Amino acid sequence: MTGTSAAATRESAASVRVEAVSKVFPGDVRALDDINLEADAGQFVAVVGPSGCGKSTLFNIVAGLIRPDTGRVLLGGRDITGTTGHCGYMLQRDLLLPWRTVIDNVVIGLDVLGVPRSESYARARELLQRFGLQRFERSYPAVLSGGMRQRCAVIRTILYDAPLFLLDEPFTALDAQTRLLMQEWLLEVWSTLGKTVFYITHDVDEAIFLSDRVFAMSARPGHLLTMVEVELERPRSHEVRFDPHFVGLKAQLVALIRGEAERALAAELT
Amino acid sequence: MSGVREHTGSRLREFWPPALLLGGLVVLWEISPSFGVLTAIVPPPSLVLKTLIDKHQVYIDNLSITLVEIALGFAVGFVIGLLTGLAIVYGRVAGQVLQPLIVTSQAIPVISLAPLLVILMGFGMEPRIVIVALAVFFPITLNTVAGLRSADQETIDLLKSYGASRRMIFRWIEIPSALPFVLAGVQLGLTYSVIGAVVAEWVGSGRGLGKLMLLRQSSFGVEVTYAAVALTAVVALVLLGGVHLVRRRLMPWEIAGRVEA
Amino acid sequence: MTISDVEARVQSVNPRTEGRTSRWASVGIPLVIFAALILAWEGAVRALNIVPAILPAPSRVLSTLVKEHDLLIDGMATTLQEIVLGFLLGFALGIGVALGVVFSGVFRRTVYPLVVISQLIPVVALAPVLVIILGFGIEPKVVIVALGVFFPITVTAVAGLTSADPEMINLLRSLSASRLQIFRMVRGPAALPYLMTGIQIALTYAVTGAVVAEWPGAQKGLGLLMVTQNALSRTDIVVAAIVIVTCLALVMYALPVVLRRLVMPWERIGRG
Repeated sequence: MTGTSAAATRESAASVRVEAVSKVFPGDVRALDDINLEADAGQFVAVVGPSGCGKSTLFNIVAGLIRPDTGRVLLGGRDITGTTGHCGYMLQRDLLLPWRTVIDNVVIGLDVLGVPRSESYARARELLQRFGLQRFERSYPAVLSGGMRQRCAVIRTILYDAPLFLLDEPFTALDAQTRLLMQEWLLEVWSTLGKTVFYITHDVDEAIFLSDRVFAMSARPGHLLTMVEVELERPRSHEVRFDPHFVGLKAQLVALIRGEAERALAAELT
Repeated sequence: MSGVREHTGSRLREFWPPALLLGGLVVLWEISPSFGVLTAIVPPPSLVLKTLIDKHQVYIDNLSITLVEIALGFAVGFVIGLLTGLAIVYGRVAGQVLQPLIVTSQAIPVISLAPLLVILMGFGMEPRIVIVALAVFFPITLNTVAGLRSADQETIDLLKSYGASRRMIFRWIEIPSALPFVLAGVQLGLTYSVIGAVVAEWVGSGRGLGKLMLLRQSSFGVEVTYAAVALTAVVALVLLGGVHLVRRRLMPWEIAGRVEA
Repeated sequence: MTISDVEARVQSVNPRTEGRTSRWASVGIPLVIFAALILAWEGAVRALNIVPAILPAPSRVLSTLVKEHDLLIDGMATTLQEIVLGFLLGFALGIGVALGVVFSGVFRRTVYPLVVISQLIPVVALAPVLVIILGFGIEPKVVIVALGVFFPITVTAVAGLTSADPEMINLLRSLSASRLQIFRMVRGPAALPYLMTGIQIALTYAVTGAVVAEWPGAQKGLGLLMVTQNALSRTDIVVAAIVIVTCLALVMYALPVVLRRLVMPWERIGRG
């Protein structure tokens, strides 16, 4: 419960709508084609699809780093298309700055907002303590293990305290065992924060396990194939993977995405 | 903690073999006259050391002239190189025009311009300072450009998504990313500036360490050349050692990474 | 410290252009600017009536290049000889030391650290000493060039020979390949890009090294011409010699690029 005090300071969760977003890059590379996504406030939503389906472009559009050619992004009903500062943002690479100590890395979002160090450090220490990293507060990232570095990245995202978290395959680089543990850990953290999460992955299993709602995307140009609601009780443990509902959803999504991947492979071979 | 101790231990173990080899070579050089090597051609180290002590005032005078040339030339070349690098990376037009120009003109052997500069600028320090500045300018410019561009794009995007300003990205990401490159450029530039200053003294008249090396036929013995060359080597070693120390001060995260690794 | 020194040189030789400037711009812009500079130089010399002894106009330098071609070609032949012999000597020495470092632990622990440290010393400054020992002929210049060439070749060859993917080597071992086969099929080709960079650094250095090494005393060569004609106030010959040296440097700079394409055809495919 200690985390909620930090979480409540800026903005609480908000609903997110991606409306009719399309994007074509120079050279007629059609990345996204009429994408519609929706997440209620506080929902965990996953986007799955084969590699090269424009997931990351979608992600950068929601983060406000890229402007879509058409369509818009709404946060709590407010148009935020092309503007930054609304999202906590986390990638497969931890993006820790080698020249900042652990604590200076996790407060960087607050540095951008101009929060005084005395305050940001106090909040950071609370989370470092909670996530077992307090011993490394003054260490440089070079001395941390992969899992520890990724936990730092999560703390950095939490501290920035945006209403929406964007996570782009954050655990893909970790080994299978660590990854499963990190997924459970993430759900635990998320349950105390009550944030809206967009989680991008190519792993169907991971998407179902984490989310309330899963959007499946096609190969390039990325468009929406289907949306499924995951009706599994929370809190979830790893046994939920054997639940018939889980298995049924997984079979359905895997078949869809597999068909897409085959289509893409066939296109490559001809 | 034990990692640190182990590190220094292994460094000591690394130190001895080359040190013994070097010591052996110096001893061999010292006793070389007994194998018939002429001291009028290859004076032993003791003789070189003796002239350095006996005529120290001469060496100090000439050394200080060369040091001034190096310092002024380096300062000018460094500042102009840094500014040019910044202009190439951040100036739209400057980048388009300057970058190809500098990449092409770095192939010109600037040090060989010394004889012409001596004609144009006279026999004073000026042509030497210009040569040093030119030699320093290219590595600093090119490394500044490479360093600023080495900043990680995804990390820049992360900060942008937080709403960071251009200045924050410059200060927190681009400058620290460029630092190791610029310092490598400084290292290279210092080596070039020592060479540039000494060699520019070989053409034209005046004084300095380079000039001293060519004094062999005068009242000095041949050991004056050896002494001046040795002093030049010492200057280069001290300057590069200085950069190494500065590097450790400016980039503490590098050492942290290395100890644990 | 010194490896990073070479890396710095590598960067100076191969700066990242990042596709911001087009092919036309990277050739055209410098050409236009150099042409403009030469025109401005010609104009300034004529307009200000500058004496040729101070600064000859480009047209004057051009006519000197034609008129004095015997003298200049004679000098160039000597300097080129120093460059080629020095390069070959330094290259052989560098490869030898690199093989020693890679295949012998004792060598790596004793000789290599000294080699690395010795390179912090500006090699060209040794020229006056070498003139005393070896005389005024081409020998001291060849040694200066060789010493300067030797180091980048050694370092890049060591880095290249140890760069081969150990898993690739294990794969070949599992196919019971001999050491020689592994060298020929994996280690050697893996070392090539490094070595090419070393050659580029070495050749660029070799031109300056040879010219400058002639200044403390020589019998022939472009560097010597610069100094003697300087004393005779034949500035036009000095500038002509500088022009030839610059051309030599440009050729030496371009040579490895061409060589690289011939020796490593797989690189071109990757880029295109």
